[in-house]
Amino acid sequence: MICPTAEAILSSHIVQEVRLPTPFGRAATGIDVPTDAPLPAQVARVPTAEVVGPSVSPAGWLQIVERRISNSLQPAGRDYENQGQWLSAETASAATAFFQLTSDVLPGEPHIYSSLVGDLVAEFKAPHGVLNAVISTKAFTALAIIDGSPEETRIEWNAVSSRSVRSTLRSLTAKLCDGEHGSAVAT
Amino acid sequence: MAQRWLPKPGGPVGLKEPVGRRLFDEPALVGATDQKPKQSLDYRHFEETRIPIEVSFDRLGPEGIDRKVVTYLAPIARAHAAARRAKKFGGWVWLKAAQLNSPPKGTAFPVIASPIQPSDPEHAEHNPYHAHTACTGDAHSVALHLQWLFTSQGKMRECKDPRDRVTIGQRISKVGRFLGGLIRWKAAPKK
Repeated sequence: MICPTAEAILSSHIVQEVRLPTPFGRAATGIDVPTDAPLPAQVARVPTAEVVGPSVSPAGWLQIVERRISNSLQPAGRDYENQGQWLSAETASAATAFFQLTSDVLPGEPHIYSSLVGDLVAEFKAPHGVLNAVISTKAFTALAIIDGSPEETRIEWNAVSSRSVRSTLRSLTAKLCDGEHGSAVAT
Repeated sequence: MAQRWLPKPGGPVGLKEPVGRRLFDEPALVGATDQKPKQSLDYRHFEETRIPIEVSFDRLGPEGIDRKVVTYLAPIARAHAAARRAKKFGGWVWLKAAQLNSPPKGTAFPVIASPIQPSDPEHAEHNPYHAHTACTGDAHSVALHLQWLFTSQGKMRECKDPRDRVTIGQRISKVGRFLGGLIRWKAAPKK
C-alpha cells in the first residue's frame, strides 16, 4: 500500500481557487473590484486567471467525525447518568475545533470515545504504527508508536500557535506513514 | 490438593509473576456507534483518576496464573465493577512483572506489592494480591504508555460472570427444543 507523506497529503488537498476574468474586469464572484486595485500578497497573477491560494481542504472523514461528536452531546441536566456515552459541550467544542484545524495532517479517520474524565480519546492507524491521543479543553496528549518505538507529544493549547500544532502533527504523520527513516527509494 | 498461592507478606513482586489489570466494559459514544470495532485495548482500562497517580494491579500467581487466585479475585473484581456504576468485569490483561519493570522500549512501571488489609478503611474487601505502580507526571501520558504496553505485549485472561454461564438444565432444554423441532420437521408432509 502506498501511503503519501503528510506533505503529499497536504499538497493533494490544496485547492486552487480560480477566478476567471470577466469582460468588464470584474471578479467572477460578482463583487465590483477596481481593475487597478492592488492584489493581496498571496494572490498570484497568471495570464488567463487569478489564482488565489493555497487553501487547504479538510480530510474527507471530517464531516463524519463532526457528526459523531455532535450526536454525542450530553443532554442538559443528565450529568449523573453519563458513564462515557456522552461528551460535554466543552470537550465536543475543543475536539471539533482540533479536527477542523488538523484533519488534513492527521493519519486518517480516528476511532473516538470518551475517557473516564470526559476528554475525547482519538485513535489513528497508519502503515508504520498507531497514534493514540487524548484531546481535552487544555491540551493534546498523544503517544505515537512508530515501528514499535513510542514517541510522546504534548501540546498545550494556550502555549502554541495553530501553525505549530499543524507542523508538529504533520511531522508525526509523516513518520507514521513512511517510518522513522522516511519512505524507501524505488530502484 | 494444592493450596491457593499467597504472596509472602512484605516480599517484593517476583519478576516472573503475572500482573493483571482488570478490564471493565465501557460504553461507546451514543453518536459514534457506527464505528468499526477497534483492535487495541481501550484507553479507559488504564486510566487512573486518583492523584497522586497509582495504577492498581492484581498479582495472579507465582509464575503462571494460579486458577485458585483467579477464583478468589473474581468476586472482588465484580464488586469493584458494580461500584463503578453497573460496569461489567470481563477479566484481566496481564504481563510478567519484568515486562512492566523494564520494558525493552518506552517507560518502565515498577510494580510494588501493596496488599489491601481487611482493616483498611478505604477498601471493604481483603486483597492480598493487590499491587500498584506509582507514577509522576501527566495521567493521560501514563495511561497511553500502559495502553500501548499491554496492547503490544499483554495476554488476556477472560473471566465469565457465573450469572452468564449456561447451566446443564438450560443446555438440556436447548437440545430438547432442537430435537423436538427436528422431529416435527421430519414428520411434516413433504411437498
